[in-house]
Amino acid sequence: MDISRRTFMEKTTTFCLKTGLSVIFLSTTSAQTFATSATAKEKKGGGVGLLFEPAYLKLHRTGELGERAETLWAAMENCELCPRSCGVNRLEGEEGFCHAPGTALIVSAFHPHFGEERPLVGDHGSGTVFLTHCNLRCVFCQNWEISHLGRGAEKSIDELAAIMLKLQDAGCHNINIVTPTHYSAHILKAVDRAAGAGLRLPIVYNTSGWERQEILEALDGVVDIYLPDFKYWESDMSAQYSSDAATYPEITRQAILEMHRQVGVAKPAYNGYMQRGVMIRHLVMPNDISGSEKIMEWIADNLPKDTYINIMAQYSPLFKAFEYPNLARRITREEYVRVVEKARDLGLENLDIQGYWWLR
Amino acid sequence: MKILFPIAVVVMGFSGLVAQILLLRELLIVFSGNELSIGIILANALILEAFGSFYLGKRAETSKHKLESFMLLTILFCVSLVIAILLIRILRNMMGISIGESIGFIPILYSSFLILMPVSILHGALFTYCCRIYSMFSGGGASSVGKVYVYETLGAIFGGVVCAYLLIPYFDSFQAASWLALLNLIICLALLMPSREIGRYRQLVLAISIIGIVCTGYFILGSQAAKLHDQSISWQWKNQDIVHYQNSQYGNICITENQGQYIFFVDGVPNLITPVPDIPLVEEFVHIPLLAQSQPMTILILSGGAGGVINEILKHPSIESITYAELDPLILDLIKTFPTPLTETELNDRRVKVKHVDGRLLLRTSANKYDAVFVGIQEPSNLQTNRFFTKEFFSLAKKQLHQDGILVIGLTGSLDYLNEELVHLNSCVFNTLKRVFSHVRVVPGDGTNLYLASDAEEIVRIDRERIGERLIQRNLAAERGIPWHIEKKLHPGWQSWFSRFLEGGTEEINTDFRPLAMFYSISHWNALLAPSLRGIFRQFERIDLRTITLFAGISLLIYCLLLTQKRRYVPQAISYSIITTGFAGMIFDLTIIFAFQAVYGYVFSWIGILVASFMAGAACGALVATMAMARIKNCLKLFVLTEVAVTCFSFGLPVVLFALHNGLDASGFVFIRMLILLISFVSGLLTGCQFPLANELYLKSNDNLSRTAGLLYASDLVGGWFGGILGAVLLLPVLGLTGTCISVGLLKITSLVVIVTQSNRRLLRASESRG
Repeated sequence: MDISRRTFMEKTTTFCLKTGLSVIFLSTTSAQTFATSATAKEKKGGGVGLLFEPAYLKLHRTGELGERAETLWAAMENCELCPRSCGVNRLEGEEGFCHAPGTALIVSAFHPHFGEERPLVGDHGSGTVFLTHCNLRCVFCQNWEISHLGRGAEKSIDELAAIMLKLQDAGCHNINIVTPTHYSAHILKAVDRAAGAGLRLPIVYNTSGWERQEILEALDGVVDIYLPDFKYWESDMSAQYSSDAATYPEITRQAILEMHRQVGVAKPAYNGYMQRGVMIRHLVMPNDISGSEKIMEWIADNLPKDTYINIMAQYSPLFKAFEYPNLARRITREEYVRVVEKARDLGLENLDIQGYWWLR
Repeated sequence: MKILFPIAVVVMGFSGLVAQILLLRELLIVFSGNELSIGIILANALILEAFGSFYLGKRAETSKHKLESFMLLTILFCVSLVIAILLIRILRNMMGISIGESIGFIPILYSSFLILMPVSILHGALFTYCCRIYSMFSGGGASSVGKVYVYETLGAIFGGVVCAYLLIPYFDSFQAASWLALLNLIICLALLMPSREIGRYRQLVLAISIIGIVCTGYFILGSQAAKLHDQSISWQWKNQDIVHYQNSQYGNICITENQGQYIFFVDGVPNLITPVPDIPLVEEFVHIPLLAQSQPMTILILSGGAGGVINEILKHPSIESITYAELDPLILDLIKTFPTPLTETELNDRRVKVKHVDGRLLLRTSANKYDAVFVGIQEPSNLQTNRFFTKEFFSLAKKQLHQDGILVIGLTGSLDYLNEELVHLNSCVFNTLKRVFSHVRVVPGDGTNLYLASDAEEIVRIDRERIGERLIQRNLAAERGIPWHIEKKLHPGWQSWFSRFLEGGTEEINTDFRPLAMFYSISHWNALLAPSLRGIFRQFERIDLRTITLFAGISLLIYCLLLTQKRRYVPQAISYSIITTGFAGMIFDLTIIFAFQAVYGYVFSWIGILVASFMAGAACGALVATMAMARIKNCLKLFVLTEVAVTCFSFGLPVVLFALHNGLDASGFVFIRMLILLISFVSGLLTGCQFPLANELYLKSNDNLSRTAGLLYASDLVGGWFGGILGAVLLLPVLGLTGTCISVGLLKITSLVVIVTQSNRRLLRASESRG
């Protein structure tokens, strides 16, 4: 289209006028509220910054969040909240593969966490809620006390909502729900109630990655930050080391693509805090059990090159790992470096790596 | 027979203690023991032996072939020991427990009970049979029981020494059990040979003995025992490539190899992986404190230095010397036997000096001062390790630190499961550190909380900027800046996090003579693995001297009500006295060893000597009492006197031990050791002398020697059972040494009251007339 100088000036002037008026009006109405509350938070030092609105607020206002929560809750009658689809009636107190006791919600800990990824931690921590039990039940689980033994205290939905608000009051930058898969119904209910009481932090869905598409669709517009693991490339490996979860690789690939579709690439906001996006975690395991290089290749082929990837090196044989010779040792520096170099060679540029070569 | 049979009794005592030690050590490899699991195993052994002594042993009275039955029981005992060891080796597989996986209280209780059952019951019965047989040809009644007690105790002393210095270092468990069986079979044969009587039963036992000797000889000399050991090890360590398996005096070390990495398991727990350490943990453990100092030069490491920690320390250019204390020399010998470039660099560096000595002893006797003291013991899970988390130890460490020196310790921590027990454990140690040091900084972690304690403020102020500056000054960093996995540990948010975490935690501190941190460590372990029992531990924590006094008072009140009845309870009174003395004896033994370690340090040989001293005292006490019984008329008076003596000893013991602890300096070591040996001997003497007297008194109203000996031996063991299971885990940590001894004293007062009031004219007259 051929734009004349006059047309350009007209359009520019119009745009500036509109923007100026918006600023004038907004600053005297909701912008002021945001500013005030944000200023309060900024003064306190926490939160996510000015003008951020978590995705779930819209759904909360329309009532759709509550409806989705009820739908997921009802799904527990013939439980298919996770790919195991064991079909137990959790509403009647039955226990499925995850061993979550019916509809009871067990929380093992909640606090501002300063050990998560840097953009989640910020100055005042990631408001982390650890949920117990797990549908994967890996033999090398680092948190076996809570994932396998289910140690924790029962909380109601209201209590979970109160926990979220408490973490917000503590200045946390997000609400980070760990191992949420089998409690997705509870989480949606709690978020709905907390949103009604003033929750304004993004939800971090800290998952194993093994998620059903139907559940992710219910989370669309609720979760702002997805933090999935991508544990295995080979289904033989996932079957052997994660309690016959042979479909893990295939389902997780689809899940990550869906997550990306929903929230896009994770990039910190102007204040350095993460507000939205997918942050993939990958634990490098000995003997290439995790198929790390293949995973990097897949990410490079299917997701943007600036996809956030945390390549983790902290594997240590724990729990039942010593029963499996291929798992019964630590990874070597070479194994880790190989994965990092592969990721770099593939052009992946947003890597969070643990540089154990930081000292001479 | 008069010479041979006492030898047989000595061998019986020898065998009992050797079997107990072998089985305890094997079980601890499976259960990766803390003080509670040790207590459970010992308690199970004692209660089963008590059962055997009474229920199986009383058959000795009616048995027509007492000697042959004794031999048969001995043979069965030896066979069951070998089977028990085998069962322990396959226990993990049977229970579906993985290597390195923790096991809770209840599985430990029932599995150790079932495995120990045949061995302990049979051995308990052997004592009663010995008493009956000995009385047949010695002509004595109660005196024969006393003498058997003496011989058995002597045997146990020999057993402890031989086990510690010969069997464990040089033989595997099957070989040791086989040699034990051979010894017992030879004794059986020797007992049978002089006899001219050739009954069918005797022939059978003779045949079994001879066949047994041949088979056992083949088992040992034909390396079958070694083969069984190797095979059973491979079952126990399924899917592992075992490159070395050895027992030291301190524990068991098993090394597996996996693609160039060596995994060192100490008593079944993965302790070290070379050459790849737990890098995040090691880096944080070493670099945060050393970068908090301007120029660290002299370092002391107490345990856990090899395999990563030393390597990281050596990266700091100002380091001039590292003194590394590792108690068990076998660990470092094996690290050298299976070398890796990492460990070779560490241990061959001229700045590193290794000492095989208890860490506390080294600190106490060292003239050097240090810039940093690293304590590589992560958990106060038993009395031995608790000594590194007490106020006294922290004070000792502070004295050996320079003005701005830092004490670095790791303690159990978690970020994903924050239970009350974990809060109390950390609160207790934190408060203890705060009592001694001006500044304490905690870096919380998943699995381990890192504690930095110093009188210099730097550890509180250290942040990423300061760390960055020092890295540049030391030309240490290969990359610009520090990585996130270190930086996040320095996040200022952790300090307020930890303060909030400690809210509601105990305000008590951990001392040498009140190992409260050990109690919280065990409580935490229990909360993870057996949460249904948490309530019991919470109730235990509330116990204090008022509770004990109230309990004693109520017991006496109930007893007074019984007194209104005309029925006599003399035999029960005697049993009760022996139970309480057995309890007291176990507590004394435990307390003295515990106090010795706190005062002096963990010196394996001296622990053995202390135990031997106690047992020697018990043997002497029994002998003296046996001799005295022949001369004096009023055994009851003497018995009451021993009750008074034990009671007074209970109240006096803490006074003496505290005086030793407070008045200690390096020059007084020899005197202290001798004095503690004497105390141990006296405590054994007092507890040992009661046994023959009790038998003498009991037999006044009951002619059945086997039943009497069995019952009273069982009573002694039951008392020991209570002492074993409650002493270390509950009484010492919760009440402290003084409270524990006072509780024992109160308990002895109740038994004193009972025995005095139950002594009636008829008993007194009967005692005088027979005397």
